[in-house]
Amino acid sequence: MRDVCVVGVGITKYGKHDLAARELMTAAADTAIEGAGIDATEIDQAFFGNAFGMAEKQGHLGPLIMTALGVPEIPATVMETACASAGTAFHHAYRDVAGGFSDVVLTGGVEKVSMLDTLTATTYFSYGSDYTFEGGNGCSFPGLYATMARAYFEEYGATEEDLANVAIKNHHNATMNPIAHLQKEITMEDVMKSMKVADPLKLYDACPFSDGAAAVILCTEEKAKRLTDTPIYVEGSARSGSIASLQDRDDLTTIPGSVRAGQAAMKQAKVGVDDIDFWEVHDCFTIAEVVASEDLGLFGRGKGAKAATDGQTALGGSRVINPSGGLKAKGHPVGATGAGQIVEVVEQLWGEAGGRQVDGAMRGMTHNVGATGGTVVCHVLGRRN
Amino acid sequence: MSGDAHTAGRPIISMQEQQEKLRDKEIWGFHCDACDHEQFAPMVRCPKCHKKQISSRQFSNTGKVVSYTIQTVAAESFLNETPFAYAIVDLDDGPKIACWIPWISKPEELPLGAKVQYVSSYKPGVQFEKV
Repeated sequence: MRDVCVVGVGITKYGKHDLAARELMTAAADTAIEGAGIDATEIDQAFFGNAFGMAEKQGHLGPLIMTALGVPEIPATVMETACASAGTAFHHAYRDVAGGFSDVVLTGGVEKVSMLDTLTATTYFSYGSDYTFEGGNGCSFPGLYATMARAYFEEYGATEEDLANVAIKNHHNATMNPIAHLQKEITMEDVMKSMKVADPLKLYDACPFSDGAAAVILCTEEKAKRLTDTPIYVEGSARSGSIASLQDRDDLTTIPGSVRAGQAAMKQAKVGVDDIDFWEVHDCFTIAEVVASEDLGLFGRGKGAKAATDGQTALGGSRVINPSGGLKAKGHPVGATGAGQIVEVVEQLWGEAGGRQVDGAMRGMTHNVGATGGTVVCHVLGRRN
Repeated sequence: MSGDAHTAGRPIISMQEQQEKLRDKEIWGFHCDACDHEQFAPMVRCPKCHKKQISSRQFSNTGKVVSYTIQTVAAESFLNETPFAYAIVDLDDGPKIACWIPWISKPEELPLGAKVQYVSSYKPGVQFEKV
């Protein structure tokens, strides 16, 4: 296998856009191409994430983006693994370069859902569950994670206030992220008084529906060294799965695919938790960040909620989680999220993260989850100088 | 070697047959004869032990609530049912099953461990009620 590097990234603001999905993806992709200093015709393949093309009544998005980029001859594929679509696309882009099939790959993801009313969006998102047994029994996406949250509270004695601290921290980080969807501080009272959407989860435990796109240029180490003095190495890239629906799992307080993908990515990178400076984890709901922090080995079982309350996951803490603001406050354009996490890690490693910069960051890890963990994708990225 | 997917590789009972059984007030699902894993969702190979010794089985209609949420915001087909509980129930003789329980608006109304039973209903999904 060949070493693979990131040489360019691009990201739109997350939030509500008037642009269509193809325009958003094109904007992010062109930014990444220009940033990498390559010509668009040098791209060999493109892999994109997109989950809700149905919202625009648009399938087969790839060629539309490549046409807009002026390179319709380059093959492009859209991959769908729900909220992990872009992480999956990045993983396959990595494999394509590592395996010697391509030298330069464009990857990323896009979502455009803000034109949907809340009912339609809630309905579409429930299609990402095991619809027959979960969505078909009235469970919304927040409902699935709420079911995990109640089980976690019962098992470990954590509280709604512990989860609120995750939201407060991520909102704070997002105030220093110019592309974040929700750039405002929130208080404990704001969270606790917000509307219950799926007891015990409240509105402020949940990420927003965002539009947005993120793009990354991957290439061989050899080419990267010609393009930049600071290539970012993809040191570990791993996927795993879990039994698709919650009721068929033994334990609702862990996502087995996260444990497996996290361990595999770290093993490939030959690093342990202590070698990683920060994590971008999939906090679609506050409970998801807590569970991820345990599944990835940052904290012991049942310790993640208190660790958040104690400030260990804040900027400056011992285990910095989601300096970007996370899905919770940076936003969650579903099919773009995994790529957006990579963009955050790369910007951090380049020292370009402004007020939310993790001091001296040399290595970061991403964790991208589809649905409740039917798909999990983890990446370890690092700089060598 | 090829096979005929009309006969081979199909779950031993179809999802449509499961629905018909539910209308007859019977919960049927899958049992792994190798490791005893059971589930309601289709399987031709056990997701736990990967063995292919799967049989169908009727589960009991009663169980206890393992975890749940109260849906105050719901998708289209449950719009008129809110508030209700989406619950995971551990059947007394059988696996955990996903279901919904009408008329639940507060956590006090459904303590974890509460006994519930399946009710056949014209409404969508698998409906349970408190015993």
